[in-house]
Amino acid sequence: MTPRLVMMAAVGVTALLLQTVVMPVFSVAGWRADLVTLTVVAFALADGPETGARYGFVAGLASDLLSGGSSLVGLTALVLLLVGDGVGRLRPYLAGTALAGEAAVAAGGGAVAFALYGVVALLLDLRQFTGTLVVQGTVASAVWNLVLGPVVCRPVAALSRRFALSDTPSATAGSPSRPW
Amino acid sequence: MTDRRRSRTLLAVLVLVSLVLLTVDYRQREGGPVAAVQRGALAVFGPVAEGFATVVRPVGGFFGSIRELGSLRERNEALSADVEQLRRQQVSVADLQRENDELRAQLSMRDRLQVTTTGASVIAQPPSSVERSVLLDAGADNGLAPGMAVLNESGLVGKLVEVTARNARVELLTSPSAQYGVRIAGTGEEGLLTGSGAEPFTLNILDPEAEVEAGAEVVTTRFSGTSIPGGVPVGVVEEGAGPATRFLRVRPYVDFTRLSTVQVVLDFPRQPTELPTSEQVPLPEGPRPRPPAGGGGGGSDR
Repeated sequence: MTPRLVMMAAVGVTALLLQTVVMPVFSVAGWRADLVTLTVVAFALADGPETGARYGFVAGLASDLLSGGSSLVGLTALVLLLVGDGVGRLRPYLAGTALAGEAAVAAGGGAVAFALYGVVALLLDLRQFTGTLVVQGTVASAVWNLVLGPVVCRPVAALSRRFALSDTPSATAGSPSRPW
Repeated sequence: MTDRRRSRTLLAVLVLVSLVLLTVDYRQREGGPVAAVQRGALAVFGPVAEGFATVVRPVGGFFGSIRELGSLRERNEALSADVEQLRRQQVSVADLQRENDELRAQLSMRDRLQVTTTGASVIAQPPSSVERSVLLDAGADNGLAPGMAVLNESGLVGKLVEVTARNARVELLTSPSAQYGVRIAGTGEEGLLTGSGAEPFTLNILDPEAEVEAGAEVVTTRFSGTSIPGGVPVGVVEEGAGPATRFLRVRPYVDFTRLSTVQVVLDFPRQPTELPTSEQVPLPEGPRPRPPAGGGGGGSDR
């Protein structure tokens, strides 16, 4: 259990560091890839809704805490846990469509995450969000995640298999029901 | 069934926790406990991110440079334009410096000649390349009048031939139609200087027996009917001449192809061609005064 937790924490911290330090260099028209959301999608696809929700909550909470006051603490956590849970529930329907499925779900997950965050931010009058900005961000997240989805999902899935829970019968079958 | 219930319970709990955090943070913002935790998290994450940035920034910069390859040409052109503009500014500063030096030298010339001058800028060359004149940006409003001498830091430039309220035309010393009285500075031999266009001046020495050495300096001399001060440098004799040669070539001091600022002599009176009758002093009455004893050549009454 501990190595798996360490692995997931390492993935999360790495995603956060890359997101805050490296990704700004690669932004296009001010929009950049959301690696944290991508790792949530990746864990949800690899391990299911429960892992997706838990990881999404923690990763989102970390994002909120590191946002420096520009975000409401709990908002990203709420959004990402819902995305993680939703993507995890889609997993059974993606069997046999590995690459295209990962890309499509990553794009959809990114779009939903940004749209959900934007709508709630609009409702709470947060960060001066506008409808146009939400639409643009939703499209940009979808495109970025479409491109980077397989790049992130494959390594995360491999790590998840490498650090699977050995005490869970389903884990050895490659489909752990309670990986975390 | 148990797993599904646990999953739903977990989801509900996490959603509830998120909503509670949201509510607390929304209501208390900066002063609340959530904000304090946020500041603590930033304090921990900051150094980590800084260290991470130190490691990966070169890599990110490398990939960022690759991404920016498309815009590098545009940036290069923009920077080149900036460099060109700076170069032009530098040139204009150098031009101002040169003009400043010119004016200082012209003032020095004015002081040496003990005349009053006014500065003017050359604003136009003649439309014809054979015409030897330039247009100044000063005119009668500045006290200019036809016939006035025009100098620069090197010497005599010419004289004014046309003057309007705001502009004046200078007939350059190089004009073949211009003629000036000059003398050899070292010997005092006098002559008439005539312009020859792009060629050196022609100096006609009045004394057919005079000998002039190469390199002798030629300066102006007061000449009847003109307003040219005496002693203004004109040029140097290129080749020496003996008694058999009356026409010499004189290389001018002034570079007539690079005139930018000049000084116009305002207060040097036109030299008379004839003495006015009304101002002539009458002959004294009585015996003529005797010359002083010992003075003069054959004035003695011995």
